[in-house]
Amino acid sequence: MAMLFIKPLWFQGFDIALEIIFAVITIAVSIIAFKLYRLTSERRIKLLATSFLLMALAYVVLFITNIATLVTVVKAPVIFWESLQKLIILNNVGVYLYIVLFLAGLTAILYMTLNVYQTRIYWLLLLPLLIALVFILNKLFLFYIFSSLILIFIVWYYFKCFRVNRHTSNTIIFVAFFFLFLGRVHFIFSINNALFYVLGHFLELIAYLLILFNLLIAMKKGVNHESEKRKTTSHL
Amino acid sequence: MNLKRERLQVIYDILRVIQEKNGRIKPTHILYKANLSSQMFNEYLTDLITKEFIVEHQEKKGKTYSLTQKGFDYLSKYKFILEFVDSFGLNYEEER
Repeated sequence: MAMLFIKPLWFQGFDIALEIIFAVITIAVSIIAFKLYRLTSERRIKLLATSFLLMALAYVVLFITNIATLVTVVKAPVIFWESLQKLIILNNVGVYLYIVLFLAGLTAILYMTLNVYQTRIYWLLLLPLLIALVFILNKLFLFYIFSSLILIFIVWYYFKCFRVNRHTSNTIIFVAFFFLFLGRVHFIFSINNALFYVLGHFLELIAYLLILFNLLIAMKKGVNHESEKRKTTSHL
Repeated sequence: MNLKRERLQVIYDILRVIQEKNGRIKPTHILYKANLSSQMFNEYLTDLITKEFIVEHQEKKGKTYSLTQKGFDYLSKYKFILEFVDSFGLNYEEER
């Protein structure tokens, strides 16, 4: 399997740290969404929770793969052929898993935005992408193209949402997914230029920070409302 | 648009009526306060019982309903649920 992208040496370690941040934020969204799903039994909340969980797992897998590679390289001054083979296998399995989980997560968000009630449509969206990835040589390149394409539809949905309802939260979530899309597009070009790999990470960082910010605003408003209600009840 | 919000709001209204009556309430009273058609009301009531928001009690004078812990949790977290649904665009439904 050939996977090609250029990663600047000075950025090694930073990318791992960023992947942890992405994993933590996506896990936080997923946990809260699952808690709300238990309360409301709303299908779309469950879909959002599942999609963020899948994306979180993807980042965890990527983090483990990158950290294992880094440790092996740093530990051994000379890498023997056998170790190198093992490293390549580990790296390939990790990246494969990351691709599958991330695409499954993004497709789940897309499926949620379509608001259809047949799970078959989800598989119809996901399976052709996975099958195409099996047959292509540079899987990462195609993966970034696929994820960018899915994100175009997700961004379009949030743009329409923002046009109808111009609240701060709608603006933030639209901008966040737009940055996520820009990040993915930069990863496509990281095949030729290392700088795009760095830029892609920073754009994704902005996207996830905005998602976190959005979540915190919602939590704050919810908590404020609860405390106000308690105050009113105690006055009565 | 905003179908989800409406549904969440109706559930909130029904649960609120039961809470205001300090526990047990007759279905006719809920129907009157929730401002729903009887068909819609029955659908919501069945849904709320299935999802364990409320429990049905069979008494001599007829059926009454009371809130479960999940019902109380829903009421206290309602504002947060709405904010979350709005924040992640879950209430938006495109025109077909």
